[in-house]
Amino acid sequence: MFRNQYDQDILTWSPHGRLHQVEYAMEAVKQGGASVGCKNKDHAVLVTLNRSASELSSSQRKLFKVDDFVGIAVSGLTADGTALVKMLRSENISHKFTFGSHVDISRLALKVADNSQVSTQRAGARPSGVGTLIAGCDESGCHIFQTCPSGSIYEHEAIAIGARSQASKTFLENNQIVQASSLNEVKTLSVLCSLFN
Amino acid sequence: RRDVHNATRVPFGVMIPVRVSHNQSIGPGVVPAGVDPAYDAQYANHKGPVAHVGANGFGRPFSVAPGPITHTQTPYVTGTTVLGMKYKDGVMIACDTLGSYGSTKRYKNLQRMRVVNAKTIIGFTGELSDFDYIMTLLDELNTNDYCEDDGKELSPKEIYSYLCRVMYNRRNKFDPLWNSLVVAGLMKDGTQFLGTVGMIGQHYTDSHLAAGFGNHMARPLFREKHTDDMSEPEARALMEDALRACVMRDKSMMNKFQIAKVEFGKAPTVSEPFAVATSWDYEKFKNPSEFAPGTW
Repeated sequence: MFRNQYDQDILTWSPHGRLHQVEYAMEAVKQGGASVGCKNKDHAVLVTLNRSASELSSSQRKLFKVDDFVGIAVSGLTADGTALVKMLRSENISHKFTFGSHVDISRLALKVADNSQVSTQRAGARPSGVGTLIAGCDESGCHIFQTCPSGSIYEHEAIAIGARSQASKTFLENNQIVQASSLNEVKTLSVLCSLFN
Repeated sequence: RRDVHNATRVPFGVMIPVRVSHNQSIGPGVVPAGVDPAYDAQYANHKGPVAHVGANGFGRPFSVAPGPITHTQTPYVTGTTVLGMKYKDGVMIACDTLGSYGSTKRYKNLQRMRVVNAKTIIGFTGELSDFDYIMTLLDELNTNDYCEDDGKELSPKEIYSYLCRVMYNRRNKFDPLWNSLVVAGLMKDGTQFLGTVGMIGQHYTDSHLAAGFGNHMARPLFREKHTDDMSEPEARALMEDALRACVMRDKSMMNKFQIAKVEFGKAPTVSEPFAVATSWDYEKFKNPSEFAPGTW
């Protein structure tokens, strides 16, 4: 990706119909540490590879619990991720207080995506620098959602994001989890997959 | 000159001392306007603190929009009791179709039970207009779900929790929605749900419920005869018994009822109006004052 005259701000389209600032934000996700998500019928598993600044430092935390049945893994600018997690936790607890029930995973993921999209269409804000994997179980089963800084949302059976994730994705395609796999199998596969990163 | 002018202007927040009168006829501290010009002059430019008023001059503190005070002080068009019970195939609620205007039986065709969504029904007692407002709130929730377009809708428990919060918050503002609500329906995990919310935010769930007079007339019958695995005809028979008990005692009730049901695998229905058989030829009704000497 090279610099050009259409990438100076988020408000400018390129002649090829691209928003370069958004693409650069997605690049930040690709440079971030790996996150992997897999699921079977009853469980959704997230694995993150945590980097540390040096040998004597602690590693950055990228895996967060939103609620009892929802977890989120972030890749990219972790600070953006923690802000997002705060927002999600607040939305979730507000919904629980009013409606007495857990939020739908898909609607939670949509909130993250909508928040990310807003920053791609606003003068004062920059796009979010973090891609997330949201895993959770609700009445309709287990889900894994991926969101991007562009505001897109995808649902996956298994996914890897972050640095060198293509190798992980190939590994996941070749070693597919079936619905009947046990939890241990899913966990093992996810950890193995993250080692590819 | 400017000092004198300013001296007569009282700064904001400073109290003007009360002018004491020693006149025997009007009493101490009472000096009408116009008697003492020097004292009155203190009020010339006085702008004391006033509670917030809206742009049009009306409104009250804590009101969001200026306007006349619209707190519910008393209900006008009211519905009487609602009964509810769970049974094997689902959950049913029943009430009459009367809207009373005080003690007048004014509106005889009132639909006091409504369908909320594919899995929930709701009935009310109390003020009709407040219930219509509650229905617009529920309508907004349904519209939100429709716009999300993911096939999901609110469960009866979620609607019940939401209404608890609404009723309690209105009560905290001293502006209650003058209703007792019965929320009934089926949950996704295959169980029935039946709950009630009152105008001060009190709420509970149970296998059989009532709002209003039914608590006194119908609940004892339910406690004696209700079981969770009653069949639909048994449940209906018990419900009609309870309705008869209510209508023969409640002076603001009429003998025209509807039963609303939510059954597993079916859409919610509200039945056509029907009447229950009542009997007034009890022995003790024939000579009423025989057992109550002193009445006329």
